[in-house]
Amino acid sequence: MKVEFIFRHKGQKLNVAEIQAYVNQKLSEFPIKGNCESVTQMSKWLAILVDFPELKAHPRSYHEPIELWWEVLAGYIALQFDIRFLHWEAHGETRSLIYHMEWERKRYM
Amino acid sequence: MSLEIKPLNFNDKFDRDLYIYCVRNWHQAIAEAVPEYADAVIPMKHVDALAIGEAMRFDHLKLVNVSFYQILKDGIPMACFILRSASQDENLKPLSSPIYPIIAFYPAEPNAILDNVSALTHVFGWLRGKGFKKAWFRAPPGKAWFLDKLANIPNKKVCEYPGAEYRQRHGIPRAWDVYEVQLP
Repeated sequence: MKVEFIFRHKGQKLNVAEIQAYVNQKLSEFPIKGNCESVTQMSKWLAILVDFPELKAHPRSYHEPIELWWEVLAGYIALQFDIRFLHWEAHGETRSLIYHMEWERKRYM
Repeated sequence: MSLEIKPLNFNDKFDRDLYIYCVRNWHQAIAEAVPEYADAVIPMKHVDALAIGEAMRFDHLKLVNVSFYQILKDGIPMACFILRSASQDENLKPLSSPIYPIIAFYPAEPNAILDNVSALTHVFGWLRGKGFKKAWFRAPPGKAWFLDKLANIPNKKVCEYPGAEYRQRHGIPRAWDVYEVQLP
């Protein structure tokens, strides 16, 4: 299962390689397997795509215990890089930013 | 002494750090009261990250109509609290209609009982001013802070939270007791 973590930044230039390394380091401390696939900085947002290979998609909820780990990860990133966490989306779902970007790119290629 | 309630702004570093500080103290107080809860869901060492990650997301999406506040005494923050409605029962099953506001009260100094009683009393008055007749207030089990000191505000234990069914399913201990507080 791939999950996008969406943040709003303050206009600062973020080092995406550093963020990716930080996310992978944090994931290695968690009891869930995960790998940061990409970090994309847009004009207002920062989207971080993480693959959780052992997880299957579950119905949208706010009480799934696994989601607490996602909140922990997002919290670490928000504190470390002084950015505002907004929400996550299952990659490919309606409000998924990266999915739409890829879709738009293919559409016009 | 003047008490004031202000919304928390998570874009502001001071507010963010204050909220984390209060929630961390709350979790430490719970860990004292219910040691088996401390690391049961998320280990305590991640409490700062969990607190802010969860709060930012709930605040952004306005899940369960949540809103976050701080209470200041003479300009000095003394507690944070969350106001939300409940759309689920204690076993997290949807309710047909949302119920009273639920207050999660995170004092900056959990042991400053008298200060916390006055802050909480102020919150209840503030809710009353907003037209609410009752509220649900959550407290760590075995350590029902200040409730015995709020003798003039009738309250009763409503449920354990999360409910037994949910806790059994996920193998987690009871986190809070929920009290109904009358706001006459």
